[in-house]
Amino acid sequence: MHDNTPSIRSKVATDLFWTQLKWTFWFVPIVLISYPVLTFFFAEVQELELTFLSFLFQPAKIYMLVLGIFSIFAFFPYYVKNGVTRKDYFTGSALAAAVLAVTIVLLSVIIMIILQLIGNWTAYSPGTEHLPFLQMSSKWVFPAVVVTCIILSYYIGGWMIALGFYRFGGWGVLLFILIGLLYLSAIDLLWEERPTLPVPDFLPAAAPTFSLGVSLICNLVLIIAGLFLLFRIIRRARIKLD
Amino acid sequence: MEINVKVSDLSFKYKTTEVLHSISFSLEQGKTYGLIGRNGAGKTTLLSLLASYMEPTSGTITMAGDNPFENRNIMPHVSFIYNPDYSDEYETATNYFEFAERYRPHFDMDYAIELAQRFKLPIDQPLKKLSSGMQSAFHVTLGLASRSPITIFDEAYQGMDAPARELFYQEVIAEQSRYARMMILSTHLVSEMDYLFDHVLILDRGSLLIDEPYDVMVNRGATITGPANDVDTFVSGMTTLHTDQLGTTKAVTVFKDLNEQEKREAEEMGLDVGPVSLQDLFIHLTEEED
Repeated sequence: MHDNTPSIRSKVATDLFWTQLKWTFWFVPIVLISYPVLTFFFAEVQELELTFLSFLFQPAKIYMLVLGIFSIFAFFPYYVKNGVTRKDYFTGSALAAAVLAVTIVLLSVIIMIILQLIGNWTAYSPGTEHLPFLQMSSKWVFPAVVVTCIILSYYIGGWMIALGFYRFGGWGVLLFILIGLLYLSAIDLLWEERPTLPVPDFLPAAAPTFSLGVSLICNLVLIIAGLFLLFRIIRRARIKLD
Repeated sequence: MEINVKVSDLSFKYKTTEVLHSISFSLEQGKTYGLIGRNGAGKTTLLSLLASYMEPTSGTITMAGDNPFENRNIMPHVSFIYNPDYSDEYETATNYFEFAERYRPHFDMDYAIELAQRFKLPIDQPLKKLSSGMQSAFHVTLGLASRSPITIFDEAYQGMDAPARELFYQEVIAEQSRYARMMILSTHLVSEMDYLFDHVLILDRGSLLIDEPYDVMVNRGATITGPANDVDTFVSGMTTLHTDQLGTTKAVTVFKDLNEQEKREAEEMGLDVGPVSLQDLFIHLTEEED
């Protein structure tokens, strides 16, 4: 026997990335088709004049949340049943999620640039407005980094909800749905200055405003904290015989 | 490096129920073990612990001297084959074989395909569309072709018809001669599979009742055959497991390791002394507790 750690982790990361990328090759084109269609049919969408990256932002959050939930039920037990340790699955899966988030954003940036080129040469006029909460001159580098962090956080949020369900069941399900939603609310509060949950009534004051740098650092801290919490939960999880 | 197994004082509690109580045994490479027990005896729990699906409440499991749980040098070498619910599984047997080839260090794809053909297993159909017998044949194929040093089959034959089961049994024997490893077969079909076992473990209500080589185990009893009156005289005072009578000829299975003198006495009385079946011993040993 030899220590085949790096190869197993990289295999898990590669396999999970490609599997989820195949689904992403459905997701991104569907959003791409929706982009001109919704802009054409809905005046309020048209008025926003969003770039493709900005348009993709909200659907990508939900897509990554669903993938995060699905990942636990579909992949986690399957890999462990095939002799992969929980730790190696977790590391490989987290890496795959991070690369997937980068890939989704890169794909949308490429599409955004292509649409702008088409706009230069034809009568088509793609939106030029960046994410409304990012008031800055950066055209795509900073927004791309921010969107990557946010959608990766949503994947982690999905993981939290599903892993709480898988590991604890019962009241654990409710607890981890709450923890997951609070986690996602914290991410939204950092950037969009409004939480996901309908909790403003409980807040003593208006949502705070953070500088972009502080938001980015806090988001990175939340990603690390989320992954740490998930690792603590997954490393002793019982694999169910179903 | 051989992966032998040592289980010491192992207990497992599920909520407030103690499923396994203080179990200790050792397993070696190259042997086929029969794990026998009635429903609810704790067989699947014990096998799940060996496969690192969960951790024991107390006690230890070591494989090649290490704790196998979350051990990346051991877990890929342990295959646990059971019958899960495939009612929602759209993946094919081929998909599973390819995955196993990637993650199981000793998986043999050619052997998997050959076995699938012998089981007449359609490898390109979604598993949900296969009959329960074919799903079992798929599991057995996956388990055998993984060639894991520790291969565990938990009631893996369920749903398979008699010819398919026989093919599985023959392959267990053939594989042990080709690529000797540790196989653990948990079963209810004791009478059908006992010839496969080198060693027998009997679990009863969470405790390990028997941990013996098969030969020693079946010598715990004997079947005495001959004229009814003589047989009755000979077995008087012995624990009877089973009785058959045809006309004046009677066969009585007793729970007693006959010594040389008793065997000579039986011979002088014109009685035949034969072996006892593992099934009879199993029924007796696990009924006794009721």
